[in-house]
Amino acid sequence: MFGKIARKLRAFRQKQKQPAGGLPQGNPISSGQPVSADLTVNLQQVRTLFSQSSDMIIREFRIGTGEQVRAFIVFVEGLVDKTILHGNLLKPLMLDARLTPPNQGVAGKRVPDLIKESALAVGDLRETGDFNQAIDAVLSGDTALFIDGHGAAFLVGARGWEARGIETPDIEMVVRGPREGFTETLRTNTSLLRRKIKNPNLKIETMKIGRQTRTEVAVVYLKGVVNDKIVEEVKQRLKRIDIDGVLESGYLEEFIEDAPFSPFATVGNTEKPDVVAAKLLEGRVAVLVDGTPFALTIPYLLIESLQVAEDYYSRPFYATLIRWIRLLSFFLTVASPAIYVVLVTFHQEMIPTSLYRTVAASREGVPFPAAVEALVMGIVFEILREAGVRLPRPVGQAISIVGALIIGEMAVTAGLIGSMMVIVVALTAISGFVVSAMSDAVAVLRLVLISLAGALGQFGLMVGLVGILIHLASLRSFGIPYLTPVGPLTVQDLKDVVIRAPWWAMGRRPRAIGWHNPVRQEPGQKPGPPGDEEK
Amino acid sequence: MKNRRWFCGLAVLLLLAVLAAGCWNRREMDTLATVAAAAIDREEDGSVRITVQVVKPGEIEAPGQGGGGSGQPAVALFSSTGATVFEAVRSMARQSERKLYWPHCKAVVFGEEAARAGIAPLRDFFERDHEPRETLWVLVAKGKARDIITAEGQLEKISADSIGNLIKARTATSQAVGVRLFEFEKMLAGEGRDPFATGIELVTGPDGKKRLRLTDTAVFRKDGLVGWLGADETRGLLWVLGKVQSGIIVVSSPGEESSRVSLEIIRASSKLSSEIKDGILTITVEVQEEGNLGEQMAFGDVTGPEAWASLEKRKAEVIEREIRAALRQAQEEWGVDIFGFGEAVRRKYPREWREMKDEWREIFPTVTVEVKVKAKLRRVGLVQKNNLPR
Amino acid sequence: MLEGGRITARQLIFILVISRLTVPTTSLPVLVSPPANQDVWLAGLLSVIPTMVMAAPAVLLALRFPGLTIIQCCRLFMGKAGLVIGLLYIWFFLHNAAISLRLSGECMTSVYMPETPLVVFLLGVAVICVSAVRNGLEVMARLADMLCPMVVGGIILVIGLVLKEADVQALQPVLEDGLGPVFHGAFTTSPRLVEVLILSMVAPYLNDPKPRRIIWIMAWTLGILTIMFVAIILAVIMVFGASQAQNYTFPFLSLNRIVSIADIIERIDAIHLVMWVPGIFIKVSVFYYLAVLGLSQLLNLRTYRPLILPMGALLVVLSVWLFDSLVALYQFTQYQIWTPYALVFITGFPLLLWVVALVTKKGGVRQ
Repeated sequence: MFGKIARKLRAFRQKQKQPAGGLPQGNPISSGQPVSADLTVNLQQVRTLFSQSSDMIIREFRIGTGEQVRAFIVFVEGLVDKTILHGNLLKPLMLDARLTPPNQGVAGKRVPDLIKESALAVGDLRETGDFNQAIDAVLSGDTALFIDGHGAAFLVGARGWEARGIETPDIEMVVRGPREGFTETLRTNTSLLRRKIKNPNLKIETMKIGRQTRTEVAVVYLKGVVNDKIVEEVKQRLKRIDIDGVLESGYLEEFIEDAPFSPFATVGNTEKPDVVAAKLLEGRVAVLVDGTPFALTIPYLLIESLQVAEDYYSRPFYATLIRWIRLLSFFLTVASPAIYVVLVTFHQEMIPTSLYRTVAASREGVPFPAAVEALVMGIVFEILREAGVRLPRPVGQAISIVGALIIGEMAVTAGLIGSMMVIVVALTAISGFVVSAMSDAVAVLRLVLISLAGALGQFGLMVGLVGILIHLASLRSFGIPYLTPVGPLTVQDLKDVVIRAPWWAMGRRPRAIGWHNPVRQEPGQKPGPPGDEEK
Repeated sequence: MKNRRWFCGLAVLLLLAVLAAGCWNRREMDTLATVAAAAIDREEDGSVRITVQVVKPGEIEAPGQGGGGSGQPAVALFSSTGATVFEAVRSMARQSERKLYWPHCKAVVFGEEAARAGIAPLRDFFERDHEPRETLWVLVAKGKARDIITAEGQLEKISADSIGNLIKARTATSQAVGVRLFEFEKMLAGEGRDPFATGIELVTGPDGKKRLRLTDTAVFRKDGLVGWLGADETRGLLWVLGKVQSGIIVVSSPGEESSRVSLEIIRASSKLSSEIKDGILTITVEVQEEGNLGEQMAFGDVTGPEAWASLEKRKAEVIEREIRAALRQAQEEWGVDIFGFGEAVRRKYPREWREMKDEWREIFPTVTVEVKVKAKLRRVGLVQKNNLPR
Repeated sequence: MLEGGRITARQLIFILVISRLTVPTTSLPVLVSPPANQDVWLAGLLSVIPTMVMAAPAVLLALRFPGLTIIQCCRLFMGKAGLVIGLLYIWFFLHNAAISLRLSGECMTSVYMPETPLVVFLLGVAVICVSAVRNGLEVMARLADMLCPMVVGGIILVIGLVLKEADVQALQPVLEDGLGPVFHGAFTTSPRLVEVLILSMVAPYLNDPKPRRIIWIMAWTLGILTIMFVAIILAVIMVFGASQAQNYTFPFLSLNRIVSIADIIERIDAIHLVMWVPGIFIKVSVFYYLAVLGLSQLLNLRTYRPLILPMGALLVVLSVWLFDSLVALYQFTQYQIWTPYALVFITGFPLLLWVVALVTKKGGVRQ
């Protein structure tokens, strides 16, 4: 059923795609307008464009002593590092140019070239003849320098603004492993990646998305490892997007995912540069968006939500055990209320006798059917969770008291719900936190399964589970079957699914994604005591 | 496009069906009367009387809810009659307040008279209906089955649990059998084998109250009860079947014939083989037993090699005596093949068996049975000998 | 192209295995076919040979026309007669799916939920089958990839748990009635492997359609199936004894119900459902898919999608209408009726097609 909806949406998207083409009318900046050689014209244009923008600063000045050349700079207050601006741009042009008269060698040169070559002491200096490009750059934090008689603008990259520092992300906690997380600044984020992968093959292509916001989006991949078709596909899908604004990578996710109506995410997100780096090394593509610490990773498979960065930093046995625990938790959090409903209202014969009697005693006098109870408790739990997330930290305590004490304890004492149900809901909730990457999908599926189980017992539950499985099997993420490597089964890839093989044994990249360049490292690196090598 | 709409329609329809009729098999636990044990008797007019023991969930201690139970009995009893078992079960609905629920029924007790008339018709319901489990215990009461069910357990609140525990503890003596429904069924369906079942009776305890006791083994010809095997004979039967697990064998002490020594059985196994030589059928039962010295009421030292060997020999004699006793009763008194000798013959001589099987009832009592017992004594325990008080 | 998906040889093996294993985990009709005593497992073991012989024409046909399904073969060189044969095949596929569907519904109503109408179960399974068929062969193959280890593992687990009740002596005497009935039994059992036809319908969609692959698939399937099949029969006979085993309507389910280890591992009926519902689902959806695919090939349609819902409705109606009761269903699946019926389709028509192809010199390795 999900597949069907997904297909419908795909068709819908195809339809949408067609009218898009070129930038739409409402965009204030249309490309292709040249920078005028006449400074007054430029100045006029800039003034009109930024007429009611108080944060825009335009500074006119003159360069040189004799025939002074008029010039002005324009920049956005707060996006520019003023020390650089004053010391390396304004000072050389306004002061130094007067003190040191041009020597002989440069006599024949034009003033702008002179300025470019020997006056501006900044590293990032570009020149553009396109007026709109210049404005664009100014809005992104560059400083534009216009010089009279020169049909181009210098763009000085002296960006600098107040930003959150690199902090440890609140979610995706690790005990062992790098603690830094992405920030809201795209360049900081790309630098974090570059620091992890010092390789010219790490490509970072940027584009701007958003009619109004003109948000910078970077597509990051490791050339030679990545499957070029996937990169192409990602870029294609990103280019198709025509949206007002991009404030978070979630905006893009919804535009580029394969199955928009599926409860399962086919695009991954993470806040941790080490996770992104690991995925790049496996041959995946990352999409970074300016303004958010959440990077998207593509393609995203179901199994990735059961893998955690720390699996790869801790020793393999424990990592394997924990991975199984996570799988179990996934199953429990999706199915345990449904299983409880099945056992309590349909198949009491499947409970061992002594347990049956205890459960029967706890069910005695409970007014609601178990299915209704499970649904209500499921919803109550979601409410508590949401409240817990939104609440300001200091009042967080209140939620736990209300949740645990009133809803749990008192409801049972008052005979509103069975005590077993509280245990089941608690188990569901706790295991839900173990697989928090899938929490949204899980919450939906849980309710669906409870309804099916409440109506048709274990048969309903099985039909539901098989239905979910069909849906999962029909999903693809950028061409890769979502259940890879379990269905289709790739025995070789199970080394990072069923177990977490030691690093020296993971000689090959996952086949479904990294088949392009499969060899990760040479085999035979299993360590051992000296003198053991011949074995 | 049309196609899709149809599909959606179907899905919605199904959803509606599910929601509307979602109560076909739904049964909340507080609408069920959980049967813990059932008793089946025949009335004089030939109708079936069923008595069931139903667990009262309110009287079961729910942990954490303080005390629990109000001193009331934890079970309720209902009884009804009908022409068939199922009819009797269903007519119970008029008085049982809740729907009877069978999957947690632990045991079915048949009355002695009902068993004599044949239990095959009575047990079909338990086999055919999906609720009762194949693993419930089959017992035959000495006397009326309903008396067994109505008796109270001493340690257990629910006397069905007492019955279950008694059967599980049977291995301590190996003087009673435990037969589950599917095992009974297997014996009933097998060629060349007659079934047996656990016997149960009421005895009076020291406080004058009635209590349950596992007693002799009920022996059937086909499905009709023919008699009871006593404790020793029951163990004789179990020796042949290789199902003795533990127990005490008492022999007189070598050198001090008036004093007794208890030998504990640790493990035992048996092998049944048949041989036809010159048209004469011989069955050989080989029993291997291992045990320890468990108690010595005599004072001599029995750990010497001669006394030790003598103990082993005496033990073997006791085992053989028990087997012989069982054989005598089965062969001479009733002519029922509870040992599965017929099956043993069939395993080895399928062709001869085909001719024999119709007359097996006549042949069985005349079969010569050789009993070979190998009894070993392994350990003495923590002391060597019982010191004579000086 | 009707079916754009490609599946691997292993996925096909898994589909065949799951599909075949649903019958022994439900009704196990082999227990009452000759020799109908404790030697049935020998018949099961020996059925490998007749199965190979019976499957040979279908395999030969698939080898001769590597890119074509059996329906397309009919169309290719049989003219009007091919149309009739093709229609018969579609009926057979649908019939098969309907029988399996009905059997699953009957088991559900007999054992788990007797008060629920049969049609609810039929519709429940049918709905997930429809969604699987809509998603095409590749998705079904992926599901088989995941479900097959589960089904096989479940069977092994259950057998392991009842081992302590098993009595090897129940298997004696071996060859009580001699070899004759055993061979007879082996012969009557083998046409139960209707899954051979899945092979001849799906072989063109293998990602590696080398002729050797098909034989290899057949060998593996037969190997795994025979082991599992014999293991189930052995377990049932050793636990219940041959005569009582025949008496159970769902012997393997009864095996689940008697498991009781240390008072904790007991009442594991759920395991039966967990492995059996997916099994039924795969079997029904594969045969249903074959019917849909076959019909659209016969009618030269460009896509099979429009056929899915009508066929699905037909499937449910058929499975309700075909049999009055479980007794009627069992009578039909007994060897007396089923064996000749299935044999016509498994061996008869493929043999006919192959001979015709040989005579008219159609197909062949070169083409």
